[in-house]
Order: sequence, then structure tokens, then C-alpha cells
Amino acid sequence: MRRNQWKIAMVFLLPYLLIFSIFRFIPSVGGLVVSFFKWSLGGDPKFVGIDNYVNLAQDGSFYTSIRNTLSFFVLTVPVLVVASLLLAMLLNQKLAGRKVMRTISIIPYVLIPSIVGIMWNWMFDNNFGLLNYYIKKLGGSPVFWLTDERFALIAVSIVVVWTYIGYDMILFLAGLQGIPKETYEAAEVDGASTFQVFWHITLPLLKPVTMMVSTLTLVNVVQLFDQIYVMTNGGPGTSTLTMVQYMYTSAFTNYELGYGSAIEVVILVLLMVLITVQNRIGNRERKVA
Amino acid sequence: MKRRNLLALGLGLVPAVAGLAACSGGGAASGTGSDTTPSKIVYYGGWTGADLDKMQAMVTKYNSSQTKVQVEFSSLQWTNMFTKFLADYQAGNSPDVVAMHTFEIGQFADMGVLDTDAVAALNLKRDDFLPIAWDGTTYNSKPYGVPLDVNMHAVYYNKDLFAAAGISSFPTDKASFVAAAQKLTVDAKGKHPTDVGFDAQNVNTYGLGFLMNHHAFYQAYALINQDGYNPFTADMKSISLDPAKMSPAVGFLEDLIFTQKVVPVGEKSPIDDFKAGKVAMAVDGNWQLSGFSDVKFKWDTAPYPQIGAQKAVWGAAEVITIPKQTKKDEKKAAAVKDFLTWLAQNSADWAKSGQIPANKASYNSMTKLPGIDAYIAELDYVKFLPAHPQATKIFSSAAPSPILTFAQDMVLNDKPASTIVPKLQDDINAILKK
Amino acid sequence: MKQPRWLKAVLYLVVIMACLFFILPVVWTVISSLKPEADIQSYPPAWIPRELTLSNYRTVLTKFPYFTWMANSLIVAVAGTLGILIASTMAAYAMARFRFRGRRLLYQTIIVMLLVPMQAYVIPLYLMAGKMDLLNTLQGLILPSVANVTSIFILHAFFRELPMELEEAARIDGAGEFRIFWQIMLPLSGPALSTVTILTFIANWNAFLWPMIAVRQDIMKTLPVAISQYWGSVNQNASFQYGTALAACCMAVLPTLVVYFALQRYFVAGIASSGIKG
Repeated sequence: MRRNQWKIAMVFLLPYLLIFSIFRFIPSVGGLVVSFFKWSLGGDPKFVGIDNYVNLAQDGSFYTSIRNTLSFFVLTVPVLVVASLLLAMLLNQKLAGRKVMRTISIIPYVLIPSIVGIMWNWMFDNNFGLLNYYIKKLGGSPVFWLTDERFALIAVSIVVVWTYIGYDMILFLAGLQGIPKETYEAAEVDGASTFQVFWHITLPLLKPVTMMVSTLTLVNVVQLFDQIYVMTNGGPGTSTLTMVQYMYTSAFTNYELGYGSAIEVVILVLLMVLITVQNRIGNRERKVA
Repeated sequence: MKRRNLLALGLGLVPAVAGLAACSGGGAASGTGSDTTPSKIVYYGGWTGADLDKMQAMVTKYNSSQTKVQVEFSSLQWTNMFTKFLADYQAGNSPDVVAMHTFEIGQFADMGVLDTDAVAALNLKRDDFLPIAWDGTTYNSKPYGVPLDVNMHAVYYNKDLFAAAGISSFPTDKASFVAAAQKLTVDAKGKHPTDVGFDAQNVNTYGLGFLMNHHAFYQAYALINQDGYNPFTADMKSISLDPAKMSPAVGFLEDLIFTQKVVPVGEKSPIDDFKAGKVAMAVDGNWQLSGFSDVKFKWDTAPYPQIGAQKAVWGAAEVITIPKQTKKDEKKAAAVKDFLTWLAQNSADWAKSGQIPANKASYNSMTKLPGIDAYIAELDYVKFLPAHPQATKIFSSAAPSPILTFAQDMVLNDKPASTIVPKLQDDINAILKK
Repeated sequence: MKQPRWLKAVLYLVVIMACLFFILPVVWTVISSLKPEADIQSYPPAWIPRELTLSNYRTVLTKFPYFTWMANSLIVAVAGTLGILIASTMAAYAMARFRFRGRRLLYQTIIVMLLVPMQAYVIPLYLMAGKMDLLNTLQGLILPSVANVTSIFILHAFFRELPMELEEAARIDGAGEFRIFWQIMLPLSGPALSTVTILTFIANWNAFLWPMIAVRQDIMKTLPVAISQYWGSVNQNASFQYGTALAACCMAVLPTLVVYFALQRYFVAGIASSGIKG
């Protein structure tokens, strides 16, 4: 370290750290520590050591929820990151009406999540919904989007992709602003094609932003709650029972806060693993900044 | 400094753990005030939409009818409200009265948050209330709440469609019920399920609709009770379910959907479909009655059909309970007593949301909404779920839930009773063992 | 950028398809909100309403304290976003650009909290807020929202990529750290700041769990809580009033869109000179 700037750092950090420790850090740690207790919220918390974790390890529904969460992740995160990047690239060009189109892209994210769930409930309705109406008109047989165990998670994934593309896109757009026009122009002078420019120049320059967007998307998806709660509530059966859903049910429907907290700790660990793996893959070719 | 950060972490942990360890329930005394200021009591409910309106109206009526007590009414969806109630209880700031359903009483009483003495001190008499409602408010032979209302399933039916199909009166037994449903199911070419060439993919109107969630279990519950079989009790330590005894109920519901094809598969909202004319009959509760002012066709309700040997239908009741408070506040207790007594006797207005008031005086003077008569006719044979201490887990409406899995395997996946009944038994026993 | 005409046309088509994918469900919702309640669920689905009516909007605006709720939401969202802009920007900058012992540990500790969602800490937060007398107040809604970690994450990533050369040059010229921050680095961060602004505004606007549990009185509620409460819930079995719920939701979206449209130009305000380090 060339110089130690902790004094000025403290000045900059203080407002945030104060609010963060009181309103986020302490409650979060408390929330996680509850996993070592048995607490029905109405009664007193009772220390039970690792009992909750032991029970979790034997809980079939829990493993189902992990599987569902991972499937959900695979169905949504790659599509989201790639599609939003492409969309950002396209809307970064001088296309007529791009301002309007950018606004349109963010509208899904702006809507209140529970209303989004209700909207899509309609559209996915087996018998009277928009989607099946058009499928039937085209001669196909209706898909039981939200009531067939094979399709429910896919249906929910469609909704999540629909919601978050705009979110990811504006992050990419912001990142694209950092690439100066001169870089593109220089490449053009060199005779590079659009694709070559994209692959060899834009993408590498966007790497830090891509990592950030990928991490945020991953976290948002794994923690997604409202839309699933309204559309399927973990069903049909347990096909959309994600870890967050199970945590919520355990804590606020079954009044087993300790158990819910233990699930939350596992979610935390899972997220850290996923992010580490993602960073490893992303940093393979990256030089240390 | 690394140590500085570690210290901060440690300091953060101490209050968190200390806070948890010191947590104990109880209420702080609220302001006593002078004798002229009104007592303020806080009332938590779980209603939304039109029901919320009606309850709010009743509270407003009480508040403006006297000056001694002011009730502050707050209502959220049930799950959210209970979370808030319990969190408030932990913080020592419990509400003064809390509404809930009868099958939830066991759970909260077991947690120790409900005050049975305060309810006993209200000196309510069983004779003042509908017997089915009164009997649902006790747990371990102790009273825990003031009965508010009773609600249950019945069948909404579209009289115009009935007339068009040539059905003159509502079917009362299994055979005529199924036959009626089949006549009412019409595909795009006008064919019925009994006709050759019926296109199950292109149905315009279905004969019957019902919820495919935990309410499907409620129907199965009613149907097994119709055959005189009810192994669910409030004190069960383990349960044994006989697939043979439950098979007729399961089969009846599954056949309607998959064999007779009179019910839309995976239906999300039968009452909405009914109002839109997409189903001719719908099994739903009296809480829907207040939403029919815009409906343009002729409709009515009929009691849930008797498929088995006797009559039975699923129902539930809402009650008002009194949470425990640590500090005895005589003035508040009197205010609570005043409000609850008034509410019981003046809940005739509650009927405007389609509910059936549990208090006899209110029941006798209630404004009857169109369609309520079928429900009233069922009062004698309504079957509640037992108020088991783990009722909210066993009869949960959110996955993973034994009855939800059972219901969906039945009405969505058409699995046979021999498979789903043992699974239900195992799932429930897994919860009971803990 | 030179591109063959056909490629441009294809790209345009792709964008249009994407926009249709985004907007059609929303258009369907808006059209439905303009139908009378009985028509909303009609079948076959009608894109052109049989009857257009503003009755749902009228109900929402006259029967409910809608503007009070909207004002609450606005105050909470604006104050929260401002708080985040000030606090998070400075904190993220410090962790990205200043050198001090433990900065990596501090950053990682904060970021780990991103992985702990509201459901996990809402109860301890509620108990604490109760002791601090913050329940049922607007400040009780604003303060916890300023403890936002996503903003730190985004701003840190952007600040880290700003070039060192400008900073060094200014330092040699004798400028203090705050001056460097304020006059040199911030102006370069337009896109990042505007992105964080819009994302945190939306997050604060749509927040549900905390406002739901922290507020008891009707007049203190924010829009998402009010909407879920007054128009029922499809997970409960009470009759859900689609018309008024959709109308309330459509109106709730407007302020956010205004903010977004206004901030749009900052998304493309480029960095004038040097680019991002590779």
C-alpha cells in the first residue's frame, strides 16, 4: 500500500456504514443466527444448536427446492444475460425510436411484481387464457402452463425473463457508454466487420460490466419471490417450490423461523458458490485490474 | 484495520443475540389516560377487498355510536396479518383483538399467545350463537374466541344456461348431478361429452368449475364425511387413512374432470369463469356473494350435492380472539369486552359481504344477499377441519403441504386413491411426529 | 457504423419483436383496466373492448385515498433514492478508489448482505424498528431502504474502472480527494449514477414486505401494499376485483416511467475522453 487513506475513507464511508449496520447488517446477522434456534415467533426462541440443519439434511422437500432453484437458475440467467446484452448493443445504435424502445424494455420491471403475477396468471390460464387461445387457433393443443408439473417452472421462467431483461439491459447500456467511439472507429478503419468488433473489442471491454450484471441477475433470480407466490405458490405439487419459497413457507406459514433461517443460510452458501464459480469462469482470461 | 472491522462485526452480533435471548412475549401497558379520553383498542383482521370494506364499516359504526372506546382496525391478508401480529406480540405491542379461523386457534393457543381467561370473562352464552360456530371456538375445552361467522361451500349455478339445456331443477343426487353437468358442457360445435365427436380441446362452456388447490381437498373432505368417514381429529398423534374409504370421493372428483370432462382441467378461478359464463356451475363459498352486482344473467345457489350416504359440506368459521397481554389494564379489558359484545350482536351488517353471522341476534336480523339461502340450508351439516395444534402445517394452502399435494395429485394429475391416500397419510404423520 | 442494409433490417426486426414481447402483456392489462368488471374475463379474449369505461379508475380515485398512498410512495422512493445516491456513491467510491487496510474485507462483508433478502431479516428489523419508534412512520420506511447493497455493488464496479491517470494528474495539481471526487470522477459517472437512480427508485417504489409489516395505519401505506390489500388477493379466496386492481396498478406505474424517461439521456452521456481500462 502506497499510502493509507483511511481517514478520508472514513468520512466517505460513515453515512452509509451507519445506516447499513443498523438497518441491514445487524438484522441480517440476527436473522441468520436464528437458524440455531427453534422459534415460533409467538413463543420464546429456544437454542437448539444444529438441529435445524440436521432436519434439513433429511428433508425431501428441501432437496426438491434446491433442485428447483438450480433448474430455475439455468432456465433464466444465461438467457437473461445474453439477451439483454444483445438488446443493449442494438439499442445503443442510432436506430429510430430507440428512446421509446428502451422505455418499453424497462416497463416489465417497473410493474408491481404481484400484479405481474396476476397478469400472467390470466395469460397462462389453461382454458381461457390468451396464450392457449392463440395456440388453439393455430391448431395446437393447449399447454397447461401453470398446472402441469412439467411446465410450471418453464412458465415462471418466461415471466422472469420478461421482467428482468430491461433491468439487465440498462446496466449493459450504462457499461457500453464507457467504450468511446474512437475505439469503434479505429476498428472500422482497420476493416473489421461488425461481428469482429463485437467479439474482439466490445465484449472484452464489457467484461467487468458483464460480471456485475451476471452476478446481480443470479442473485435476483435465486431470491425471486413475489411472482412465484402469486402464480403458483410453490405448486403444482412442489414443482416451483424454490428455496426462497420454502423458506417463506417455513417461517411465515408454519411459524418455524429457525428452520426458515437455516434454509436461508443454505441459500446464502449456494449463492456464494454460484458467484465464485461464475467469477472463476469469467476471470480465466482476465488480467488483474 | 482488519481488527476494526472484526470488532464491528462482533459488536453487531452481541445485540442481535442478546435481543433474541431476551425476547419474551407480553404487552406493555398502553396509556391509561383520564376517564374522559376514549380507550383505544387495536383490532387486526385478515380480510381484503369487499370484505374489508364491510368490516371497516362495522367498526366505523361502533366508533361513532359511543365515545368510550375507539377501535383502530387494520387488515392485511391472513398470512401477512399473522406475521405482523406475532411480531407485534414479541415486541410487547400486541393488538387487543385478532380475527382468525377456527382451525388456527389450536396453533396459536399452543404458542401461548391467546388469552382464554379474557374470553371467559366475556360471559358469552352458547345459546346466543349458532351451535356449529360456538363449538369451533374451544380448544382443550377452553374458550378462545367470539364466534363471528360461518362460511362453507355450495354450488353457484347459471339459471339461463340451465334453462337453455332444459334442466328445470337443481340436481340433488350423484347421477342427476353428473348428467346435468354433461348437458351443460358444450364444445365449439355444440356437442356434449356424451356425444360422438366431442372435442375436449375446444369447449366453449363447461358444466362445472371448482378450485384446484387446497379447496379440492376440502371437497374430498366433505365427500368422505358424506360416507361417514372422518379420521381427522384435533388431538391426533398419528393418522391412518383407508384408501378404500377415500376412493369414492377421489374417484368422483377425478371422473368429473378426466372421464366425464365437465370440468376444465387446472382451473384457476371458477367464480370468475362462472361470472363470465364459461362454466355453468361453480363450487365456491358464500364470501363470493357480494361480487355479483354486475352479473347480467340469472343465477342462484344450491346446497352442495349429496353424493354419498348423508349430507356434508366443508366449512370454516371466523372468530375474534384476544391475545395475551402482560400488563393487566382494566380499562382496556372493559373496552375490549364492550367492543366484542357489540360486534357479536351487531354483525347483521357483516352479512352484506355474504358471511353468515354466528350470533343468533345478528343472524336473525341480517340482510340476506341473493344466494345466501343455500348456504343457510347447509348449517346443520357443515364439517369443519379440526383445530389441531399443527393445523396450519397439515392443512396449509402453501407448498409443501400434505393436503395441497394430495389435492393436486388428484385433480391435476388424476392419480389413483391407492397412491395418493397413503402419501397423504405419510405426509401428515411426518408433521405429527415432530 | 457501416452495416449492410439487410443486417440493419434484421436487427430492427429483432428489436421490434422484443418490444412486442415486453409490451403486449402490458397493453392487454391496460385495455382490461378500461373494461367494465364483468367483461374483463370474457372469452374469447377481446383486444377491442366491447365497452370502454373509466369506471375502474374513477372507483380507485374516489373511493380510496389513492393520492395519499401515491404521495407516501413518492416521498419514500424519492427520499430513499436521494439517500442512496449520497451515501452509497461516497461509500462505493471510497472502497473502489481509496487505499486503506481492510477495504477488501469491508466491501466483501457488505456485498455478502446482498445475498440475504428481506424475508430473512424482516423480523429482527421489525423488532429493532419498534424499539426505535420507527414503526408506522415514513422515516421508518425510508431509512432501511437506504441500506441498499445493489447500489454499492453497481457503483463500486463502475468506479473501479475509472482511469487512474486523471486522478493522479489532479493530485499532482494539489487537488484534495473530495475535489477529485466531486469535480472529476462524478461527472464521468453519469450512466452509472442514472442507472442506480432508476433501479433504486423502482426497488423502493415496488417494495412490499417491509412497508407491509412496518405500517399499521391506512394513511401511511404505500401503493403496492394498498393495492394488494384493497383489491383482495388471488391466493385468498375472496373475490378479486380485477378492474380496480389493474387500474390502480396502471396508475402506479406512471411516476416511475416519468423518472425513467427523464433520466434517459444520461444513459447515453458518454465519457468524453479516455475509455475504460481493459
